[in-house]
Amino acid sequence: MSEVIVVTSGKGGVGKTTTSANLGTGLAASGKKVVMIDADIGLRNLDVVMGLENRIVYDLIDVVEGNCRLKQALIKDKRYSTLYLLPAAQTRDKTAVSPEQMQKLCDSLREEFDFIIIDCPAGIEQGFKNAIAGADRAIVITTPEVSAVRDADRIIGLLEAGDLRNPMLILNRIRPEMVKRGDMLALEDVTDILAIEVLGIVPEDESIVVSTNKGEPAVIDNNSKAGQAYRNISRRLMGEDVPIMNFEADNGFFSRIFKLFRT
Amino acid sequence: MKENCVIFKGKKDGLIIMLDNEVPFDELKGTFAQKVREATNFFGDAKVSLSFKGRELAEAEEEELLDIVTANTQLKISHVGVIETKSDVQERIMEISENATIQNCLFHRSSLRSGQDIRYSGSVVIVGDVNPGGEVIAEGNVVVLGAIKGLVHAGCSGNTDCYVFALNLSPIQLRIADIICHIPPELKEKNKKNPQASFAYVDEGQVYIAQL
Repeated sequence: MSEVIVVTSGKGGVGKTTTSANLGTGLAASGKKVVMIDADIGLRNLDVVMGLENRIVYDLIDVVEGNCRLKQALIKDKRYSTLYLLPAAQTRDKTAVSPEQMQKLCDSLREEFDFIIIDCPAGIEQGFKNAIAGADRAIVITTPEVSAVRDADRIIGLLEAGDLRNPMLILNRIRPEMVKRGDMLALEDVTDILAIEVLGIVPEDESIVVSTNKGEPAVIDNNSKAGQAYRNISRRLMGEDVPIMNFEADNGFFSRIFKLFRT
Repeated sequence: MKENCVIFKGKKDGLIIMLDNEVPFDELKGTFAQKVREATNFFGDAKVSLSFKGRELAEAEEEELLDIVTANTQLKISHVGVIETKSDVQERIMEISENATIQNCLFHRSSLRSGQDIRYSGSVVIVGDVNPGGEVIAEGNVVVLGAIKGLVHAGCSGNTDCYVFALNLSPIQLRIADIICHIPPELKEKNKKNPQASFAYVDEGQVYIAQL
């Protein structure tokens, strides 16, 4: 049974595109057939993050307007043969597609793919409504900041009103040291307000900047902590029970000795 | 003709007729007759006790009013009485209608998320939280069996007798009638670590919070 998952947040810049790219890649790396749809018409980014921008010939709007067949617009990933991308249009805007068209598109993709991941644009208007139209489930991304949490709460309210119940949370860009000092919201503070199930936590990691610029999702990088978090989340999406990562900055031998002296 | 110099109020098995004290009797009689005629179908042939309230009636005046009732309705009057006189009937009527408003209650059994609001011309009870960005605007009281972290406005049409209760009172802004206030930061800190059931009310133009 295929699943259509929309990755949304409300607030911009919290990691929807990064998460879509990494989850898509993580699932495909485990052998699943995955298609990622960039629903951010006019401000497309998923193709850049995946390193596939120079392979775009047709896009989502071309498919919806009948300028090409769906297969012609799907771009196969460089690294994984079961991973595909349906890019957004850059020269149009969100009014170029309707929720009904999105739903039809998702339905036609269900036969071929195990997972359909929709990268939702920021905001709560037409772009958001288009992105959630064909979805079965939602993943809500937020960072541990009051403004992001406020917007995530709004989005969850809208998702529940749109019959996408039980969305799951990914808390992104968390800095364990700041949380310990009390300078940053902890997971409990966030779930206190949002009250939804937690799918995973992704730590702040420089490797994300590097991987975005290179067009190689961090989930492929074995040395990346964020990559490891995304690998865990992919496994949880496939039904595995993976414990939440321990983010202690340094668990080396000497740091443990120093901790003994400090207490 | 002053429309509300005569008001009918139904009680369990009786009818209270509120009469204005200052309108001249003839004018009152005219309004009374009109109202009785309008209400005939509503009264039907019920058996009621009648009480006049708000105005001292001479026996002859009372007779006249009762005649109007028997002539225009099919009510069976079991008993006639006069209840205590209050000089300002309008005030009484306002009080009664306000109490009725407060006693109308809306129950909401889930949390209010950011961007969701409840507006009600009565009191509101929420079994859940009011998240930041959520709003409750009520003409009556607001009782939240959870945390208030958003905006709450009780007595929004100006009633300073209304109150706000919450298991964790940490609103972004609290309003009762036309008084706007927010929680002092020390209290907010205290609520974070150890929230306590709290009750906000107005006394002499100032909002007080009692921790229970």
